[in-house]
Amino acid sequence: MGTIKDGINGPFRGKTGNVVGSKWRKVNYIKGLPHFKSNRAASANQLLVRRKFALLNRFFDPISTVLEIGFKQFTSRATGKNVAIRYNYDHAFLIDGSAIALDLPALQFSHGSLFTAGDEQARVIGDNLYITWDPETYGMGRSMDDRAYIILYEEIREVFFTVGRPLRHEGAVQFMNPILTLRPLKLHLWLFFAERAGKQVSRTVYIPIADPES
Amino acid sequence: MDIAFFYDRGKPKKKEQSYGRLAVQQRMRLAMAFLHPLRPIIAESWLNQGKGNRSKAFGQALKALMQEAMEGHYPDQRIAAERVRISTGLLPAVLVEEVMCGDRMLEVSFSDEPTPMASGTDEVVLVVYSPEAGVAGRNTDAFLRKDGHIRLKLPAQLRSQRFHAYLFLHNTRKKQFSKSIYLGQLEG
Repeated sequence: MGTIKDGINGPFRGKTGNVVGSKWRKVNYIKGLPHFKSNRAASANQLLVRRKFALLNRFFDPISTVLEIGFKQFTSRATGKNVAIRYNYDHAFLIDGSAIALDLPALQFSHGSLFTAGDEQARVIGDNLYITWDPETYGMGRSMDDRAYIILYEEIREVFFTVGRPLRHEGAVQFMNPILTLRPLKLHLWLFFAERAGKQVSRTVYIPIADPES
Repeated sequence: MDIAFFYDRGKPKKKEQSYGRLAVQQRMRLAMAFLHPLRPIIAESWLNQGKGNRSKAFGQALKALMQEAMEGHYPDQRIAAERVRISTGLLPAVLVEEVMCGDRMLEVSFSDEPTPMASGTDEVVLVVYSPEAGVAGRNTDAFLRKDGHIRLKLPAQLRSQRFHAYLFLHNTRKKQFSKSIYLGQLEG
């Protein structure tokens, strides 16, 4: 598949013989129909790449709406999930021999020039998760009404939770769920901010969760 | 037919770029990375040089940084933070006497020689910035030239970390700015 530039009659679209022209997000693509199905077994490197793609794709699937916000400035020619995969691919994996796992603390769900809050902390007490951050704006790069996007993930049960959309000046949010009382529990928490118009976002901060019981 | 004549897999698709081009690209990348977090300040403090246009103002600040504050040769070019001007203009600056950096606060004392161009009501701006953390902050309370000191609460990310500090002044209408003074690399 390749991209094709406009001709005198615009871009080539439709099917001619075994060539197919199409357009997606303002990009004109040209593709060929498959000639044959290869029976050759995939090489070790091909398998590795496929497993990496499958892992990241499966992980990002449930949070694609958040990724659209986090990578909004890059989504004119790709989806938020596409950009997230490209952005995280190089540092997202822990490879130990043939075992591959996601390096969850290293993942980023946004990229931008808004400043992060700083002093982010999270603590589980009973069935409550308390998340706090520095609510001050320090005169530049932050606004009181920046919206916080919080992503909570339980690794053992492979489930994401919605933690509300508080504003930066609130400085804290509380999340209550019975799952927090279950053991074993492996929680991961990320936080980023988006300005009110949604044009600027901050980098994502991974918040380690202090839970003396787990 | 020798197909390699048309297409040679071994041949690199992209021509190797020249030393000069790579050096300029790196200089631009470094300068942008350093100045970008300070955009809200530069848009005001370089506005006269940008003829009233905020993006032109940033362009002028970027040009000055690339001309005056770069040192070393490619691939080891770096920015000399002490030569970066985050503000420029003809307003007289102050004489910094003492810089006190505490756990959460930064306080600067300064003195001033009375000149016809300087007014006691000129506002003083103190900026702290860590390019590594990509975080900056400035004083949120107003301090004037006649106060003789300025205080700033450090952003959480800069506590127990090294950061650069700059100070400059502007008149009450924000039409005239002074050149910025580099206070040094401090640790919160």
